[in-house]
Amino acid sequence: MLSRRATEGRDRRRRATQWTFVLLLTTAMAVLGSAFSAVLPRASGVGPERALTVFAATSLTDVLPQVAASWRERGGTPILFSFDASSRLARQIASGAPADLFWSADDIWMDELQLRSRLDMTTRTRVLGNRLVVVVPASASLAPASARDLVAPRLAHLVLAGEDVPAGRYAEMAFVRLGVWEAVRGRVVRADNVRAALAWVARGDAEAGVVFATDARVERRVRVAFVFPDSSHPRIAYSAAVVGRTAQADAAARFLEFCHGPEARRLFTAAGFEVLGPDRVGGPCWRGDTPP
Amino acid sequence: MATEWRLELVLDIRFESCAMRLELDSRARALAIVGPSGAGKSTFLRALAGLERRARGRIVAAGAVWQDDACHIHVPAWQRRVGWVPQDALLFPHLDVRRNLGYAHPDVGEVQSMAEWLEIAPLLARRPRRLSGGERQRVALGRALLSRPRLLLLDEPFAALDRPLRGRVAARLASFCAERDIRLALVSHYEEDVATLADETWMLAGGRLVPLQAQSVAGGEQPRGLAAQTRNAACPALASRTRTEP
Amino acid sequence: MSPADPASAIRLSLQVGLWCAVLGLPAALALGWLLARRSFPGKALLGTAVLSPLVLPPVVTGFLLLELLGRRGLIGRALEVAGIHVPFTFAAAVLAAMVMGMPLYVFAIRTVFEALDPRYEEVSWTLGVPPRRTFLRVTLPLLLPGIGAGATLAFARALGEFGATAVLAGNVEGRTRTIALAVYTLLGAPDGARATRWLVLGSLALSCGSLAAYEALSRWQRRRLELRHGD
Repeated sequence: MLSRRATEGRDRRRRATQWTFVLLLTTAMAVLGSAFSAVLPRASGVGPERALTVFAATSLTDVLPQVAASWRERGGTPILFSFDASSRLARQIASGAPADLFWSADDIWMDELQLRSRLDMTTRTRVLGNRLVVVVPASASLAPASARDLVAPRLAHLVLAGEDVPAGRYAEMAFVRLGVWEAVRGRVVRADNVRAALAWVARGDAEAGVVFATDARVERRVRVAFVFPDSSHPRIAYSAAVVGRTAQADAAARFLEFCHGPEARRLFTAAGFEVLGPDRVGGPCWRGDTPP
Repeated sequence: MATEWRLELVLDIRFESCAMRLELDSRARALAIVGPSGAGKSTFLRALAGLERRARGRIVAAGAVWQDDACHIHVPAWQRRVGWVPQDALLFPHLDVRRNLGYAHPDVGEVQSMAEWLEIAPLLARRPRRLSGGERQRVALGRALLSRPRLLLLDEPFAALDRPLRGRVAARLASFCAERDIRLALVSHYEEDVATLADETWMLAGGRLVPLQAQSVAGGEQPRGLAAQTRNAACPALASRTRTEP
Repeated sequence: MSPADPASAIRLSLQVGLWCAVLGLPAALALGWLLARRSFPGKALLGTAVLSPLVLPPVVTGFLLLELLGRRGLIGRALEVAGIHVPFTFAAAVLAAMVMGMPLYVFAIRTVFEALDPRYEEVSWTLGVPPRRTFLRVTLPLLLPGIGAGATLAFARALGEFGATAVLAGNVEGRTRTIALAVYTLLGAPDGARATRWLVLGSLALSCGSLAAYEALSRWQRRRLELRHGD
């Protein structure tokens, strides 16, 4: 019905419209993108105060921000957190990540960094303790009452944190101590970190998991089946230290002091942690209490 | 069984910019379709074969209803017993000539005699890639003939053959079809082929089929008026029918 | 002692890759053919759905799969009744890798179908061979190298799968700890970087090999559809 010339004209107009649209879209994205990035606060500085960067073990995800808020109220510097497995955080710091303060759930990773001279050894201190527990989904009908009960093949999947994550290591050590590791290891599933393990049990996909007591408190969909006896694993202690040679070393040290103070202790205790210290420990490879 | 052979059709074929309304009623044993390039002759053959979904209407061939959209009848291509020889042969690339020829009925003897008859016997073990245009066309013709069709649809079947060969093959084809009662619908620009093979000639131009009485169509040379018509074909205005073909 | 055994990881990756290429073939063929040859309402939607694992973050895809197939999931619930538990199994690893590789698989096969002139199939029909047998006698034989190329691509993608596997299949030594997960685990260990050496080499070798195979098969496919020698 249309002549060929008319069809060509229509096609040309359509193509022009399409190109205009593409150009407008690209320009809009470029403008928005640059505007957005200008508005984002930069990690190391908002105004005259520069924020502290704290790398901390996963279990502290809920309680440390509360402490930081309290610190802020008293005029402290703002704090940016990065929560992950202590092992991963330690590797990141070893590779030069810009942390000012490091909280580890276990001594090995502290020692690692100390060996590489990444920490200010004079500031290293133990702050908190924790218990190791086995959790099951809240709706589970039966729950193991002790480690012996885990041997039953009924518990098809037992979630632990990864082999090098503190929670995972403590769990394995405890099972070995209690003599049931060989029986359960075939059913072990490793999760990225202790909170991931918790999530799987909460979803019901794993019948049981080993996490810290403080983690279990945070998750309503799980309940504690039993607590590992203290004799089955080394003392679970969270240590903190200022990462050496940062511009924020003073502020970091002051925050650490605050964490030993009464206000912070109140918050920690409310979250289920044991409060240790404030005994200062320096020097390499201090292991603290070992089980009898 | 030489029954009364009648090919009747009324088809509407719609394209993007134009539409055709084709009507044909013929008792001829062999038809030729001529017309300017781009008029839709190949599309017409495809519609006869049942391959053109855009074609709507009614086709009756030898008493069997092949298509009747009003009654929702559409006999699929594999049941129509047509042999379609397209313009570019379309030999199966993964089969050699022997297996292409025997695709429908793998009878060794038949394949051999057909190959000799079409003068392609030395090529039986070759792959289509290594054939010339004329060789391919002959293989395609042989392949269609060996499928025992009742209606043979030829789209420029001899375009790549030289004159003497073309004459021989056309003559053989005519007698072959007469012997086995195979009807023919041929699209060609070559008047000698049309003369050898066809009883009736129809012209497809301007979206219409028109019977031509005399064999007075020279290949490529159309009366001025018709050529002018087909370029900017005054296609019949269709009622606001939406395109049924996605 | 290394927590991740390189031999086990490589073996698992190979097994997951092969299962993905084989099990994914019927679905990839069906979807590829559908998207290449047919028009129907909702075709664009299907195309987008098939492509989505390519653009979604893998962990999100893994999470969606877990929602579907976990114990309390929509499909998982029905499977529980039958005694089938999907997460943390080898099957879960295969499933995750298959879903992540499906966009590539379908894309490769769709391309191959589109490259085939549909008139070959039409000629076969006119010669009296109905569509199903035409598919077996003409379409499949002509497209076999291209389909092989698609399968190789899916295999290679499955070898590298990490995110969705980690979420759906977990990190189970000896059962779902494929190369990527093993490297990830070893990186967490104090001296783990050194231990990843064999895994990295193995991974590189497998990837290069797969891509070389893909290239060769693609070239073969192109030559197969050539009309003239030297096209």
